[in-house]
Amino acid sequence: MYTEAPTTKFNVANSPHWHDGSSLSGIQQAWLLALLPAIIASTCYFGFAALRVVALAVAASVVAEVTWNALVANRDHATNFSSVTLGVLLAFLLPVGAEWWLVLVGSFLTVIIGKKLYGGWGAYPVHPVALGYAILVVSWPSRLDYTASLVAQTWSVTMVEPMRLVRTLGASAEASFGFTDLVLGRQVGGVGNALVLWLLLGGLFLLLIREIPWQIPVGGILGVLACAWLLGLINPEGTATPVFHLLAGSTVLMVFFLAPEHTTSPVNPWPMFLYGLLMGILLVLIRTFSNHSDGAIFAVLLANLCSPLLDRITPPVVGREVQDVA
Amino acid sequence: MNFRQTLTHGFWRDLPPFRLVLGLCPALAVTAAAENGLGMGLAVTFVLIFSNMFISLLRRVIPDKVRIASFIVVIATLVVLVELVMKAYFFPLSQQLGIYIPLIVVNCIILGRAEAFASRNPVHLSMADGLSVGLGFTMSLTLVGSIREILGAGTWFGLAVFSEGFEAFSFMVKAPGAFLCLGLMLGLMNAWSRRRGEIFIQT
Repeated sequence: MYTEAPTTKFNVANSPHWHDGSSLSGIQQAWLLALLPAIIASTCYFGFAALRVVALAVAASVVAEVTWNALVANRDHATNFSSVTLGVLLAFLLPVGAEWWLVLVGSFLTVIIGKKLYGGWGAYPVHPVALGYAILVVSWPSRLDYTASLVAQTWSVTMVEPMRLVRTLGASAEASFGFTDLVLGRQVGGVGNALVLWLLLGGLFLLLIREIPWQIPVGGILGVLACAWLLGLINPEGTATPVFHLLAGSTVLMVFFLAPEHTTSPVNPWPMFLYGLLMGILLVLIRTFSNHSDGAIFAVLLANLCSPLLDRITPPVVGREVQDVA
Repeated sequence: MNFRQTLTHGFWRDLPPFRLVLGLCPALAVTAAAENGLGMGLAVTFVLIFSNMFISLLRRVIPDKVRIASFIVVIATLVVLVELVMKAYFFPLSQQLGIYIPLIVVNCIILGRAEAFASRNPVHLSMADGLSVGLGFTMSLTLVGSIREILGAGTWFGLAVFSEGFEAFSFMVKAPGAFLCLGLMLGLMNAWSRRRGEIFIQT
């Protein structure tokens, strides 16, 4: 006699079968939270002029992203917050008195050329902010002069000007400013790229919640220290001390925020470390030997391009290779 | 291809450098200004028409094994002609284009048309092909040069386009700007063709 089998329903699905609840927007919100101390500190130091740049860059980035998504169907939606983070990071590199059109063009280049044309978050080969800022700096170098921009502003704290002094005077310039000034971010810089302590707070937060791997910042810092130390051995007069290179300019922004960007950094432990190391070494080399006083952006671009190559260093395969029997 | 198709295929279907993806070196190198693009394009057109003509005439004489070398001899002769005429009558332009005029000898469009078209078609078709592809190339180079010059220098054929307050986007007249401009135009063209359902990838 035929009896009907009890109906059992099998769900067939690809892995992963278990999800910890993290989301794309959650990742970006963590990054934004980490950037918040620096935004607040920047507003305290430079007033609303700094906040204006951040707000404009974020708004322009989001508008660019939404417009592109309306024109071209793609899965990189504006709701994942990635264009917000890009806007904030771009604003951090711009001078406080940046013209509105400069911010708009920079945001457009960052989001459309740097991100969307390559296929969105997860597909671009170099950090979009580095790309956008590099194009700006090639086109309008005088408009991105931090010192000139700050002279035109009124600000509430006195600033030291480490990058330029060290370039013109050499190591002797270091006596003219205290390291406390550098750490607290009282140095000439963009909206948020030189606020060392406040960026460090955010970076440590990202490390603590394991949003960024420790290998990249550690590699970056070691690279900066080692390269500056070696250069100091060769030419003690003309080179700044390793600690100076760590605290002045955009080093901290670079090692904690630009370098560990998920799309453009390697995925294996050793490649991550080497990637950080390479970026740190490049930073000091560009600062010392090129015409750019702060080479963070170019170091990021070059290291980003090496990232797929570095990722070919994979962990050794466990087991034995099967010999092909002829 | 009949005569009319041959005369028009260089303007869209085989538009260099976008469709043929040949001749990218001059397209990137000399298009910092619209005038340079136009001059380069016309020089290439001249060489292309006459190299196609001579190669088509000689197509039964040239042995198959040494055809590339023979093509180069024909092309180089014409290029030297262009170079001398330019130096005599358009000296500033020839200074601007510099090494890229002699380099027309190894321009892959010219060699490509000689190999793919002129060496297997009669003279009138080959000359029409040279005219069509050459003018297409001139159009493309002038367009790329115009975009780069207007954005990057604020001028078009040397005339100011914007008012005094314009600050030139000088990235566009530098080398990376050429790659960006060419890539964006190629992408736009492919998107347009895909929308119209054209088959545009050469098989």
